[in-house]
Amino acid sequence: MSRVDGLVQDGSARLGWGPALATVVRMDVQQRLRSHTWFIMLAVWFVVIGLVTWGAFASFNVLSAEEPVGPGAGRFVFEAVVGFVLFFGLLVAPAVSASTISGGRSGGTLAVMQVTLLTPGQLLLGKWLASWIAALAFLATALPYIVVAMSMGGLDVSGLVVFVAMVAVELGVVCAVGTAASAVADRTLFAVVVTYLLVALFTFGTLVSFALTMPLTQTTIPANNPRWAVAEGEVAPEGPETCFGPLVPQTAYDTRTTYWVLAANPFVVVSDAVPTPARVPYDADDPDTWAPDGVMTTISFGVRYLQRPPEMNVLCAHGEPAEPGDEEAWRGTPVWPLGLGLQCVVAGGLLAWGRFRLSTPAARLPRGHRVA
Amino acid sequence: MTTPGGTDESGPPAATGLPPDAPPSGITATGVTRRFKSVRALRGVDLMAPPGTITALVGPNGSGKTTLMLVLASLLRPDAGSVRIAGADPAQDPAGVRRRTGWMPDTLGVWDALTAREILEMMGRLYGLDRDVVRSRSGQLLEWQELSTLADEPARVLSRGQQQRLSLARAVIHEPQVLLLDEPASGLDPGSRVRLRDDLRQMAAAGKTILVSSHVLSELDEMADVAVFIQDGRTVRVEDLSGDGATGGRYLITALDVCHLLPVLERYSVAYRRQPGRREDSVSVEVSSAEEAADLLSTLVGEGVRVVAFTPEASRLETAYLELDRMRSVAPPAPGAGVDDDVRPGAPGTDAVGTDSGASGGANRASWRAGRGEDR
Repeated sequence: MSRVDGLVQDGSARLGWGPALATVVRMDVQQRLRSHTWFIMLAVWFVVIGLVTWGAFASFNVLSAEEPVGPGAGRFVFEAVVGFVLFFGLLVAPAVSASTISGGRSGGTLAVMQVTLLTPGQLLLGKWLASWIAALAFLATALPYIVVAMSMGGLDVSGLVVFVAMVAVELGVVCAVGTAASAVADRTLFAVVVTYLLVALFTFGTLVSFALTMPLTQTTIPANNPRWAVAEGEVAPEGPETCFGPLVPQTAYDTRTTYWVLAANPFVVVSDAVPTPARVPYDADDPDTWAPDGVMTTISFGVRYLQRPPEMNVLCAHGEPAEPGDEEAWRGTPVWPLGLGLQCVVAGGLLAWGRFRLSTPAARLPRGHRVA
Repeated sequence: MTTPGGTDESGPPAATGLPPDAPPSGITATGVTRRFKSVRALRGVDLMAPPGTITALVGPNGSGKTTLMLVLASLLRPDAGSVRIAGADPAQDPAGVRRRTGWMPDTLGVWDALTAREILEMMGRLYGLDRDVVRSRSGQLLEWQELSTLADEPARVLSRGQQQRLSLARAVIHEPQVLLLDEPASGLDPGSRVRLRDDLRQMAAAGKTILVSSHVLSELDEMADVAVFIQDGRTVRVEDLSGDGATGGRYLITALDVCHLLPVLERYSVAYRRQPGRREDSVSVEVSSAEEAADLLSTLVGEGVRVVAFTPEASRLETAYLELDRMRSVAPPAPGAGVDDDVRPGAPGTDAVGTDSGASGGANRASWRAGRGEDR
């Protein structure tokens, strides 16, 4: 080996996080970048989002009836694009993340990395970052359409930035779950399926459990009859002016105890984190300013609505007319920190398990090595 | 012959037992056990590989060679026993072991979209080497393994032998003191095998400790200094191969005219056995020592027999291996020996144990060998 000496070895130094992560990420990202299918997928994706943008724009024109480009078109189209990117990202992120470590296990490359100075935490974090970067490529591909939506006007930049950032965060959470699952699972297929199931649990499971618990929240509110003072040619005000008659129990749902189930839904997390946009005010004199809410704003409003006390959903509850302005003043409490927290607990727990499974010398034999 | 545990009074001093004050270099393993659920893969392996030597790890498939390699490479935690690699304990100080150990697994792990150069450079980075050091060293190693022309091609275009060479280069990127090579010669063409042997000898001469597992006994015979035999997860024998190479055993004599040879052998009442098949011009005789072999040859030549070849039937490694094999087949199978279910020595395509030169006496052969013995 005289030909290859001249190497000074540091006997005590450990591998720093910087070079460790940079190397793991580089290896992973370069592997992906050199596959043609990757670029074909991104190209298809670019076309598909183009169609979604066009479709959202067309339906906005129908919904806003008269004026071809209303002031809110940008917001509406943008939310459609963001919602679709999030939806598709939730489908893509497990695929790009859940094959990383288990794939290396079956390919024999994982053990080769494990015998280097790389720690299990560095390996796991590096693989996570790499898969996150891959998932973010899908978000980046959609950016031109976001610019198109901006050009339509009606978009506040801060909301836009929060939207894109929250989608990126959600993709990161899903990639963390996928990477951790691939570290835990012996087989790639199993890791991918587990990740999809967890994503489905967050996305649909939250909806299903909310719907199933809904009847349990049924309650009755004593209420009587409302009377509106409507003058000729006027549009009805928000609430009844007076209430009259005997109090009769009325059915209502008190979802204040169950709405939080929806918090972990990725769509809720993203839409709820965005500051409520300044709504184009309903103006009886100028109906052309009416702008339909985008899909994400609708979701956010929906979750906030579920936080209201049941009295607010019953006219003349306890025989009292609602305070004028209560409806508009209702903002609810943000649920996205709770939702993101729940998601992070799941992802963090899985990552800890994955790290344990990557620790060597292993007490348990990693798959891909046969026994003896 | 040895007793399990490697305490062999007739064996070489370096391999008999383990001195209490073992030097903190090379590989030292004592009483290593490891089980996977119901399978006892290692049941007490003792191994000592001093620096500057090549140690062969020999045993049938499923005997625990790869498991032992994984334990030594700090990937598997042994259930019991102690392991020291270049003075460090893999269980306590895996980083210390890894810095000083190069491991070449039997499964080739190649990032098929990365180039050979990138693989070497990135692995070097993962061993904490500086960018510049890694760059120059990768270039040297690629040149060393004659991969320079393919260095910037994706690794998937490399042939199996080239990937094997890349794997070896990768294992030594951080210039380890200890090398663990699991079946490094499988898939290599004869030229590459000779290259590998020379490379390993060169590294051993430079003071590295090298442990090689292989089924290619004839090759191990040429390069290894010591052979450690593993069977059913135990060290069953340690054989020093560094001597002059000639011992007793069966010798194959080939004469120009076998009709002249046979009467001479009969006259000296030397028991012989005719070779079946295409080796009709050869006979096999048993001698007790190298001296007796030399005497026999000079006698034959003196009697005017025109001897063309006079050679040990099997290498010492093969003889030892087959001897162990016979013993194993005579002994009842050990309880819980589930590891051995897939024993298939001499898988197609590999240089099988006991090839054409293999012993002809099949009397005590295990059933799985009997078939092979007869189809010659």
